Amino acid sequence: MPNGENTTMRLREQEINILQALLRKGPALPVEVAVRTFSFPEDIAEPLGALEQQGYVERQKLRKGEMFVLTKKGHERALGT
Amino acid sequence: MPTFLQSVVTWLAAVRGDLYAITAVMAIAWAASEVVIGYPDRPVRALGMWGAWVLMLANALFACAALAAGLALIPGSASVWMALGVGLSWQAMLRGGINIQPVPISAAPGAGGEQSLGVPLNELYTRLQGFCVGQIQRQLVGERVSLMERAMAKLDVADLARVARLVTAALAASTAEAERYIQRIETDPNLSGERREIMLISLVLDNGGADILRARVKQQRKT
Repeated sequence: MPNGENTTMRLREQEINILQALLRKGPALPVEVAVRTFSFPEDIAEPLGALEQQGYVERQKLRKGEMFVLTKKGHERALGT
Repeated sequence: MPTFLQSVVTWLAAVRGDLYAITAVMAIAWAASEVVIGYPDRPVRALGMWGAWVLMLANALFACAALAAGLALIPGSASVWMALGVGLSWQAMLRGGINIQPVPISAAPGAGGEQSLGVPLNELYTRLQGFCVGQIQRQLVGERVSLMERAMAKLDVADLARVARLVTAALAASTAEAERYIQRIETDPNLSGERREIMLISLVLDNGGADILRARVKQQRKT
């Protein structure tokens, strides 16, 4: 499945923006990730899910809700982009 | 005085406190730099969290234990250079993925008494680091959520949009984009009033506007 391979290798612009935002300002709630990239929470749900699946970000449960944190792999990727 | 206490007192009298202080300061500085790098947006606040203090103290304790082991293994090595060397190499070893198994203090080599305690020290430190970092993150998020709740109770969308415009005006490169974004939040028919408020507050907080928001909430409380 060449298309599937491509999506794991290459990140879309919004995914890169999210990684950069997490690198620049640290861990964030979903709504904070959205405002950092000037988008709405529903716009970033899918790219965040894709980044999580590829191991670039990690979802951490909180008492109320959840937050997203860059993994080591995500940190390296964000620095490289 | 019991023998154990006597030996502790003897050891404390002979110990070179200055060497341990050097190693400990290096370890604290190293752990502090990790916290600062992890929270580029709020480094000072993150350093004030108890998770950061536990991490710095634990790192210092681990490094001092390594120095004590080094001094015991190499007699006559007590010097500033030894303290500096252990201070640097210990940090590199902890983070370099080198498997450091705890060694029993009393067992002589080949005596058959060496038994690993099970968890390598570097893994133990990584777990402790993960725990402390998690605590810092939770505390920081908790503070933001608490301010968000207070702001939502006191300010309306128009107020918040005004503060957001004020704060984002400082973003020279993306002021136009921020203005379009604020307008979209204010006018999008799919957003509820509460969601508009949450997004505007997040925008303010994310752009360093916590103090302005706090002042605005305080002002509103007085009126």
